[in-house]
Amino acid sequence: MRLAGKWRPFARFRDLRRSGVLGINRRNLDVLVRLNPKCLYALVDDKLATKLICRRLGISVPETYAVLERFPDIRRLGEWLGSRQEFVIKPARGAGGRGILIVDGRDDRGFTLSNGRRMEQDEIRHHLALSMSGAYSKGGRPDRVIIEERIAARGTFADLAFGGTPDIRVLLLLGRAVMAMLRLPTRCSGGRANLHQGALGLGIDIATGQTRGGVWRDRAVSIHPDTGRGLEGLVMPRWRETLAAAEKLTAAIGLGCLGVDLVPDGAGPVVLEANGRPGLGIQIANRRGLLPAVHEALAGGPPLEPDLPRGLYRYG
Amino acid sequence: MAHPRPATLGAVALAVGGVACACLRLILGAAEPAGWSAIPDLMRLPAPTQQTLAVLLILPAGAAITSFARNIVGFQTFGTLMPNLLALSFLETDWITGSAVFVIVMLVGLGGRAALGRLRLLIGPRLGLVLTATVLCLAAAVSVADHLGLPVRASVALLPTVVLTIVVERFYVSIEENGLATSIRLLATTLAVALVCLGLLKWRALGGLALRFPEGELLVAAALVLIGRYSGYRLSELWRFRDLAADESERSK
Repeated sequence: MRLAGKWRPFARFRDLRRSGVLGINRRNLDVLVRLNPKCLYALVDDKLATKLICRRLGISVPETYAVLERFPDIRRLGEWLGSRQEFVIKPARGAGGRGILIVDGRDDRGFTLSNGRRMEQDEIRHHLALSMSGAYSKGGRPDRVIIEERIAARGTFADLAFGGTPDIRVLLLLGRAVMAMLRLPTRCSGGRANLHQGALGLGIDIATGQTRGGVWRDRAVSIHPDTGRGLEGLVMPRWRETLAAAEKLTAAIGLGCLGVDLVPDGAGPVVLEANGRPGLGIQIANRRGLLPAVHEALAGGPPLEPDLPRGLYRYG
Repeated sequence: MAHPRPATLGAVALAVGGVACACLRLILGAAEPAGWSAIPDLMRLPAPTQQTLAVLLILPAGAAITSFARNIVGFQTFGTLMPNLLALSFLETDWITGSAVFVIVMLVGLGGRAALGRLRLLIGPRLGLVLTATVLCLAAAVSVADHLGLPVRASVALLPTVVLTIVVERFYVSIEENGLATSIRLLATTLAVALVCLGLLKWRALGGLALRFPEGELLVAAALVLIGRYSGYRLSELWRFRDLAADESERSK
């Protein structure tokens, strides 16, 4: 309950400091600069590189059906897809979930997306051409497009999501998981699981794997905005394994501040991607700030050294 | 977090250095007006050069304003330099011509861009086509104005056209990525910051001061260093994280 006299529309600086909220400036200046060597970003900014590392480490990733590298590849897409009906189209360097299409079904004339949208053949070609010419990548760099397995939501997850696949974001500092949240696509996020695109985030207790309430459009919420369902006390399946996979991947990549996105699948956690500049909305989802964990990470412990699997070299 | 801050010291050094230089020049300058020591004195330059330099010297202040809006207030704009670029491009125009160019380019640009969306072109050619449509409309507008006997200087429309076309394109891409509401907000903040920058550029007294004391740039540099090292909360975060503060007061009860 808020005290009527004390309620304010804005927090005060000291409120946020007291809550240990990590702001974007401090994230950029203190955390990213000191914990994330620039040369390692190539390993997470390119999703194909991340997938390669995961496979070498024995961490499951969605199966790659095809990689489009040049414009002529677009014409051969139908051939490469064979009879597959469900798959995900993902620009390899797409930033912040941009340019991702989740395909539910296809016929001669086009694709049906998971959010119900219909895309005709030439619309898809255009999307692929745009992706390859860098419309969704950071800085507009030319890009490749990954066509990969669509990881379906199962069990507890399936009835929470509105289209799209929910996933779990684990935030790791110096390789240790410090915060996590379940990200659920909503009607207004159009099937995407990125918070700034309107997805719902539920804080997850690291120790127990239970959800605590959520964040939607930067507001703390306790019910699902589309279904009205309560959000607290959901238990994440295979929680230990999920955390272990995220920690293993981070130890290999060597970024001291990393967000790893996974889906707890039937056979074990599947890594979708990793993010070297993780968003801060996770703090609202968990109702607590990241600063204590950040201070601890900055004060103690040597910075992470990348420990890539044999045969992989650092590039970029 | 009270470790020594080299950046803060640097900023102070820059500011003190700037003020010291200006004072030194004031004291010594009167005594010896000729020779090499006259170099820092920009007031001796021909008037047109002075005018150009006055604009140039204010640009960093515009950059400082934009950085302040982005990193301390938390306004999002289309790029860091875009507001400054917009302001610069509109500098030569008077209010009426400027508004006319703005309205024409925005309307034609947004309309043309919306129509082109269906053609599914790659980014470069699409941008070129939007520019073509805008340029045609501007040419028509200039011709019509001339026919009506209004005095027009078409040259003032050069820069605004190109810069605004880029803004239109960014705006459209942003609609796809962030939705309409966010994009309109982005556009509005970009324009608002650009207006402030334009105000600075048009401010005669400030231009005169910058010419008289080019050392002022060091003060701007000091401000930029400080803004660049600001790791506190952005004002927008007081809003964004307001629910976390509320939680804290609950917990302490």
